[in-house]
Parts: sequence; C-alpha cells; structure tokens
Amino acid sequence: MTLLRLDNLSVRIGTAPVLSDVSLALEPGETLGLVGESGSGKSMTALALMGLLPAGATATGRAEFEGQDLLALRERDLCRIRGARIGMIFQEPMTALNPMKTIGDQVAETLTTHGAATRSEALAIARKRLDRVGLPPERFGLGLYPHELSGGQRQRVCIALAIALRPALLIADEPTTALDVTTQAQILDLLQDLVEDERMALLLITHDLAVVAGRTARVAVMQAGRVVETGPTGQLFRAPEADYTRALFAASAHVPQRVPSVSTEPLLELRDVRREYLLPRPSPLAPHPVLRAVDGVSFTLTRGESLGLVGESGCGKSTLTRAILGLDAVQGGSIKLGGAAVSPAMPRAMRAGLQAVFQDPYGSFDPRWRVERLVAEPFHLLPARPADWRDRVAAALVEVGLRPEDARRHIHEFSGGQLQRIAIARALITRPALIVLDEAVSALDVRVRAQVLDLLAALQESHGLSYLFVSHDLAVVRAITDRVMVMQAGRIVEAGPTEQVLSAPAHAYTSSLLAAAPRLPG
Amino acid sequence: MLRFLARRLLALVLSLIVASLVVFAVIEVIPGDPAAFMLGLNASPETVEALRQTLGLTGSLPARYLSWLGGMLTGDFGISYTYKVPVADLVADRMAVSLPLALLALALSTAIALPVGLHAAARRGRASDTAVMGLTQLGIAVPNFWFAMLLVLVFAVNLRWLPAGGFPGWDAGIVPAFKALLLPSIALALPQAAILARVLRSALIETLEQDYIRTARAKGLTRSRALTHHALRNALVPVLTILGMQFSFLLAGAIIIENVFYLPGLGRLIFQAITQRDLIVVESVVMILVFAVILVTFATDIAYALVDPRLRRRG
Repeated sequence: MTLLRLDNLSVRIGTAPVLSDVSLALEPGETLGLVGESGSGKSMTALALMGLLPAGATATGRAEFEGQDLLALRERDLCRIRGARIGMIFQEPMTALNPMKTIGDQVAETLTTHGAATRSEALAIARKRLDRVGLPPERFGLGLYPHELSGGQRQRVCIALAIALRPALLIADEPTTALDVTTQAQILDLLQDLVEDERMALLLITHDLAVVAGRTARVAVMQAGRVVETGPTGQLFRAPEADYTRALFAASAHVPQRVPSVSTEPLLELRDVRREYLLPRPSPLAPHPVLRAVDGVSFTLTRGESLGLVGESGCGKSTLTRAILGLDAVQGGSIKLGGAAVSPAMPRAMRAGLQAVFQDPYGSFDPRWRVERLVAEPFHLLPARPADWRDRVAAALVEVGLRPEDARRHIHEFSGGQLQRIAIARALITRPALIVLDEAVSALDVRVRAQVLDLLAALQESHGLSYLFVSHDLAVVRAITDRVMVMQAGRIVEAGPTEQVLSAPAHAYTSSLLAAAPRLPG
Repeated sequence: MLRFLARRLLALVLSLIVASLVVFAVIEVIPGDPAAFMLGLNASPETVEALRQTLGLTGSLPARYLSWLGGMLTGDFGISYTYKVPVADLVADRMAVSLPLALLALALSTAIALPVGLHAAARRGRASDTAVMGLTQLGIAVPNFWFAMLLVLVFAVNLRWLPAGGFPGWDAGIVPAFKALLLPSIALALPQAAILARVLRSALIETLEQDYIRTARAKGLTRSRALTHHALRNALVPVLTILGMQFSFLLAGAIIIENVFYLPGLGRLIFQAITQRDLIVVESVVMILVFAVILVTFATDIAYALVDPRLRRRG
C-alpha cells in the first residue's frame, strides 16, 4: 500500500496560489528528494501535509497518508499523527530546540505527548534514541541544555525527537543547509542509516541538487508551486527532461569566464596576524583566558587577483575578515593595504578603497532608505560627496544589471539576487581596489548565483578589482578564484593555485572538506 | 550557579554602599545645615545648636557617615524628631501595613494577568483578544485612586462587605486586617495587572513565532499545550522584569491609595516626614527603600537564572 499519496494538492495564501496541483507518491521505506529553489513551494508541501500551514493559508486536494486524508482530519486527530506517524526536522537547528528545556526532556516529550510512555520510561527511551543518533551518554547527558551543544549536535537531537516513536515517514526540510560540509555529510549519512534500519520513508527537502544525489531513490523537482519532473534519482541526473531541471544543472555547474590575474604587485599584505579574544574569568581573581581566533596568518593578495578563503564555521575566517576590513584591531602582526597599515583608526579615504559584500542581502540594508541613498552611502568616506553623485549611482546600478530608475525604490521591492546586485553596486561606488566578498553568494539560488558570479567576473575584468572571496562552498571558490587558502582553527593550513589545491590537496583537512562536500555526478 | 550567586551578591553590596553615599550626600551635605533646615527660619541659635547635638552633626563628614552606617547596620536608625520614637520602630509599624499590602497587590495582579495574557495570546487577533486588550488599555489609563473610590462606593458604602478605610492592626486578628487591606490591594493591583497582561501577551506572541514552537507542534503537541509548556517559560523573562519593578513601586509608591483608605503605610510616613522636615526619618526610610529595591532586583536576577539555564553561567 502506498504510504503517502498527494493528489492535486494546492495551497493558497489569501488569493495567491503557492502550490498548484502537486501530485506525489511515496511507498513505505522509500526515499524521495524534493528539490527546488526558494519559493518553489517545497516547504509548503511539507507543512500542508503536517497541517501546520501559516495562518491564512488554505489547502485543497487530497493528501492521503496510511489510508486517511490528512487535509480532512480534525486538528485533534492530526495531533495524534504528528510526531507519532510523521516526524519532521527543520532547517535551523540553532533555534529548533526550546532553550529552557533539557535535551532529554525534549526527546521524551514526543513519547509522553502521545501517551506512549510514562516520564521515566520516556527518558529511558530518549537515552536510547540519543545514543542512536550519535550522542553517547558519556558526553551528552539527558540534562544538557541546547546551548551547550553545537549546531550539528542540536540537529541530531532534533532527529532523535522526530524518530522517538519510529514514525512511518520522516520529513527533513533543508536539514543540513545551516551546517558545515563535514557536519552535513555526517547528518545525511545518519538519516540514510536510520531510514534503512527503521524502514522509515524519507522526504528530503533541499535546494541543493547535490545533496540528494546518491542519497534518495527518487527525486521530484519543483518550480513555482508545481512539480515539473519526477523520476528515479540516477536517471533524472543522467538525463533530465524538463527545461527547468536542465537549467538547474547548468547553473550548478556554471563556471564564469574569467581572465586569470597576472600582476605581481602586492595589494593586501598580512604578516603573522593574530586576533585574540578575552574569555570570561573562571573565578573573580583569575586572569582572563585568551582565545586565539586567528593564529599567525600571513599572505599576500596581488592587484587584480581573486583569492579564496575557505574553512568551516569557527575556523576564524570571519574574525580575520573583520580585521582585514579594519573593524577590529589585531593583537600581533600587521595588515597593509597598498602599503598603508589597516587598523580601526585608519583614515576614511583608505576605507573607500576597501569595500565589502556580505551574505545576507536582507540584513545588509536599512529598509527605510531608498536605493540611491544606500548605494551612495560610501561617499561619506570621501572628503566631499561628488556633485554628480546621482549619475554615479545610476551608472553603478547599470553596471550591476539594474536600471537607473531603481534608485528611487525601496529594498522590499527587490528579490534576493537583485539585492545582492545592489550590495555590489554599493561596494563599487567609491572605485575600491579590493572587495571582500564574505559568503556573498551563499544565500542565493543556483541560477541567481550563476548570474552574480558572471557579474563579479565581468566587473573584475573591467575595473581591475581584487577579490578576497570568503566561502564555505568549494564549488563556488573553484569557479571564481585564482588561488585559495584553507583555514582551520585560526591557521592557514594550505594555500596555492585553486585548481591544484582542490584537485590534489596536500593537507588532510582539505581532503576531508573535499570528501564531505556533496557533488553532482558527472 | 554558585559563582553567579556570588557575583550578584557582590554587586548587591556594592550598590548598597554607593546608594548610602548618595543618600548621605544629598541629605547631609547639599542643603546646608540640616538642623537649621528642620527647625525653619524662626528658630533661635540655641535650639539649632541643641538639635545639631542630637542629630550628631558635630563630627567630621567621614566620621558622621560611618556612625550613620554603623547605626543602620545594628538596627539603630536614630530617633524621629517629630514622633520622638526610634525610627526603627516607626518603620517596622509601617512595614507591617505596606509589605503585606504590596505582596497582596502583587499576587492579585499576577493572578489576574497570567490567565488574561495567556488567553489573549492564544486567541490573538480574535474578538476576545481585542476585548480583553481594550479592557487592559482602560486599566492602564484610569488612575488607581479612581478605581479605589469606585471600590469603596460599591463594596463598602453600598454592599457593606468591607471597611471603607483605616487599619485595625494585626493585633485585632488576621481577618479584619486582611479585610482592611483587600480593597486597597485590588485598587493597586488592577493597573499593574493590565500592564503585566499586555507585556505577557506580547512576549508570548513573539515566542510563539519561534522555531522551537514549530518543533513542538511537529511532535504532536496541541496549540494550547505548546503555549503553556514551551512558550510560557520563554516569555517569563520580560514579565519578571516588570514584576520586580512593580514590587518596588508598590512598596513605597502606594501613597495615594494609602491616603484614600487612611492606611498607616510607608508612603504616608515618608510624605509626612518630608512635609515636617524630619530628615532623620526621610534619610532612614529612603535607605530602607533603596535596600528593598536592590533586594528585589537581586531576587529578580536569581529568578531569571532559575527560568533561563543560559543565564546561570554568565556573571
């Protein structure tokens, strides 16, 4: 018997359709990848069958699970299915657990809520489930609180509470998007093991085609609220039929055309840079312990070069980036841009030559300002705002592929990709020599990301820009950089020409990063 | 947790010392000669000198500060100039009214605000939420002495269930004393309850948007169980902040209500002491109130840590 069958499932929020006639089927124990860009309706599909749609959304059609139509069930009956027959985990493990409750209680709650066990039995079962997801009792007692765990460990707790009652279906909505590559590989392996051991069906929702490659039996590709293509994973990857799927593959593998840099004139020079933080004193009279976040980093970035900096979260790359931007003082060593020392006290004119683009396009702008004011803001760094500043803003917008009229609009009128173009325009406006791109394309969908990478490559050539490209995504770094540095625990462990480092890594850590990174076949 | 307590205690002692310095400076140093100030313009130099002796204003500043501090530490707050009795006894008598009144008002306001806030948050945007929030708006807008007079009219004058004012003292028995405090505490509690309910509602609504509420719902918890078992505790921190501030206010700020009900409380004592220029009483009562506020803040800090495990580690 089919475990889950969606028939013409449609969802509208108010009058706007967000899902249109989605039909999917899942057999017991089967794994299905649901892939699509943001806004394609993949999360909405999961929330619709869980009965957890946001307020104002209505679902029509059928969602038959174990012979019952989930859409027709009363809330009380849905509560009996959620957590017991269908488990679900979400994208953001850092906030998915209640900070006030112990992890043991939160796993046990799945059992007690459904009356499956008394509290003490439930805690005993919770212990077993935590063992199963790789949190052994010696290090991970039931009495720990979420804030005492890392993101990957928290996601394991979320998995433990989702599978506590051995549901027939596990829905994983972007379970690894917020995690580092090595953690991502471990979590995906764990999910695969669990599905096999417990004979659970898995609905794996992701924006990343590479995540489902080799991990799910079948894949469904969604676009704008519709399923455009469904098929066995291997076959769909070898020969995608829908134009949209082909476009996704092309964008994922896209490498912008660039001219390798040939200059040897140094632009940014770091010598033995150290960044230290004081930790809280262990007792009122003890000295502050010191955390060395950046430990003796030296490198040179030449004019016109594109240099990658990769590493996992906590390796010190953000701390290093802040020091390079002159936002924090260094505790040792020196940073020089064009021969002048970089520090929080450096002259404003120097900052004009050093701009940045950050990851989150929504958080990078004041929502009350118009685009022209946002883009013109770096002019504050110059002695006086040029008289033709409006023309310059218009020119910068055209350069990044927007229209001069966009200057009068507010940021809520733009998509994420357009906002990142505005951020690039803002970075360009003072004609800097170096732009620091800190995970600048990480939040973008693959097709938009390919366009932004093309834009960055073109601007580099036309303006002779240098890039310091900070990212966790090896594929992106491979596409856009001449050289790459791999950072681990505050140190650069390997550096060299990008192609060479990523094809024949010399350091064990680089190899482990490469092995963990999900890859598209072919 | 022990280190957290030790740090908080240290902070408590430090703020007490700073507060005592400020009070001492304001009252003894700034307005010139306290004895002349207390006696008014027509006092003879001899009387002023005599008062200076009684007040202990003859030594050097540091010596006076230390003897004042030492006196307070041993429970000797001096003799009231107007009442001619030890300030400690005076304050103890008034505390016997003000402290139960404040506690009763606080308990009532929490007992009203908790269900109201939970209900409004659970039914956010529906008719009953709008109605309840409208009522709380009214509760904040209407002054508490007007409530007090309404209560007296209804329950004392018309129904004759409760006394209209005065305080028989605890010696007269628990029940009469409690009855005397009931109306004033309701009058004090209503506006506080309205504020507290609104704070709780908005804290709950914010908490209900959090990811862990979605996790709880995906586990199979009903909407209301997710509210009481997950959202409530997370929404408590802002509520505790307000509660702490309200208690400090209720202890000394009940002066208008004390006047409406003829209650011999701290608020009236300090008001009378100020009008009669009884600086010894003013100084001591202010110091005691400062102590109470700091103690309440300390208790609030500990309550935060009890509620939120993340705060137990920090200092």
